Amino acid sequence: MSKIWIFGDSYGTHLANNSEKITPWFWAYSLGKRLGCNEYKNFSQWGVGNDYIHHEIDLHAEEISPQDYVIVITSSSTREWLIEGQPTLSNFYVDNLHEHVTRDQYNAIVMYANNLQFYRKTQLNFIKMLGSIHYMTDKYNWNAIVIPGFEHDGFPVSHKYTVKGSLFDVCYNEFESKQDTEWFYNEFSDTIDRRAGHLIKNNHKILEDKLYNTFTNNKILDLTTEFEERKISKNNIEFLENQISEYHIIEDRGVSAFVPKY
Amino acid sequence: MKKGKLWVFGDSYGQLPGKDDFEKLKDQLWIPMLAEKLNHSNFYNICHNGAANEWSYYNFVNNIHLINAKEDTIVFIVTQIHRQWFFYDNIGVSNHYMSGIEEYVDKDKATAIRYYQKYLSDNPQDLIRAQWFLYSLEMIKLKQAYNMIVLPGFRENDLDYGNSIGCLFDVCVNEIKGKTMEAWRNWLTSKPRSGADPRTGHLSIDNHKILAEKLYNSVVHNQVLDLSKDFKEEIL
Repeated sequence: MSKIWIFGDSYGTHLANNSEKITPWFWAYSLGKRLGCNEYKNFSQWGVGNDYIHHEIDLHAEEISPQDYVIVITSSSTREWLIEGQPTLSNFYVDNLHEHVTRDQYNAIVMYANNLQFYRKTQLNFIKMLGSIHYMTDKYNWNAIVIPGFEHDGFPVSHKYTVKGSLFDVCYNEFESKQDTEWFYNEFSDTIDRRAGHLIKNNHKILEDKLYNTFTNNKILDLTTEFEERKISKNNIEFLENQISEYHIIEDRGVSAFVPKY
Repeated sequence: MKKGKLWVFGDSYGQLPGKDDFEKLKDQLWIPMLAEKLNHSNFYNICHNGAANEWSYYNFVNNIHLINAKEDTIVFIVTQIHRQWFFYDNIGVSNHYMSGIEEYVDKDKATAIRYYQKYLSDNPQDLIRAQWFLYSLEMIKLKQAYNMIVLPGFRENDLDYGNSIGCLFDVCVNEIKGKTMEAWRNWLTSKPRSGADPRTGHLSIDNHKILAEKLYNSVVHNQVLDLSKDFKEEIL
């Protein structure tokens, strides 16, 4: 029997921080069942960077067998795990960071971002991270696919399989217009995206199908076509009922997302 | 007929002296000696005092189109994992725990570094970045079929440095009578050195030759690069 392993940021997290909500239609959860996996090992966490994602891979590397399925979702290259106990605050450009760290930590992060971080270096770290995952894929003979959550500047993100586009493209294209995007994030969703894995339910099924075809038929994973687009707008929101998390930014920023097992 | 080039990327362990001293010493320094032993026509030395692994990797990536996989040899000196390439044009301060760093950066940057050290460095990031660096080097080596060798300047127990034992820092320290960190520090900080290591690449000339020989055997005969023995010790 095989397992499915998911390592990533919020693109890999389910709806809730509540263990009673399992989101059975979540793309990775249903994909594992469809592939015949008997265990679902999802270590994704919202707000984390590639360093934390790689740290989780390292912790479990020896447990992953060549018969298993491995999916790594890469995060934004600008995120960094700066405070050990709070990896979910790696996206330190969020507005209310000061509410979740001490004053000294906040000042240190602001100074770090303004003085010590620069684009070429973060880009380089991203390339190195990919190289490291590719090396581990070969070393352990993993059946692994790497999916870009965000930008990837044309670097070959995956290794054994070919991937086009990113999950950000799918996520962003679900909105009817730019105004609807702003309304959704700033008003409806309380400044944080509460869609499961930042996708509407129908796109979970499409993503599952695509990944299934990639794993079983070696098809290119094309994240630029066939997904439902321009669905969410201020005038069309009812369909999202039961697809939206109970996550509340004020109380929950910094806590870990609950991810179910089977 | 000589062919190919030797590429060396890294920190001060790969630094060469100024032009005049280089002309006098070139037959005794490990980089030109290794290039000669490998029958290469030339060498490129891309090393800098205090540099971080990120900077070395950046230069490697930027020069990759010039490297001939069939003919060239690459030596990658791996430095301390805490070093961070904080400033694009100020490579030497990547070793941000060095004393007197305020002389090399402005006040805001010095404050940012102090805050980083105090509030943001207590995490596994250094180790993770070092692993990315080493594994991605291995990946490129395999993919491009490069003749590449990793030369540990320093060593961390939790990291995989490939086919090697020990590190150059041990060779450097063991040259000092007493062979301890304390003895090395006392030697380095006392006059006339006052903190500046006069040795090219932190090694005495005798050990350059031994290092060149060991690297040659690793590159050509795939021998384990053992930096823990055979070097001259307590000679200073």
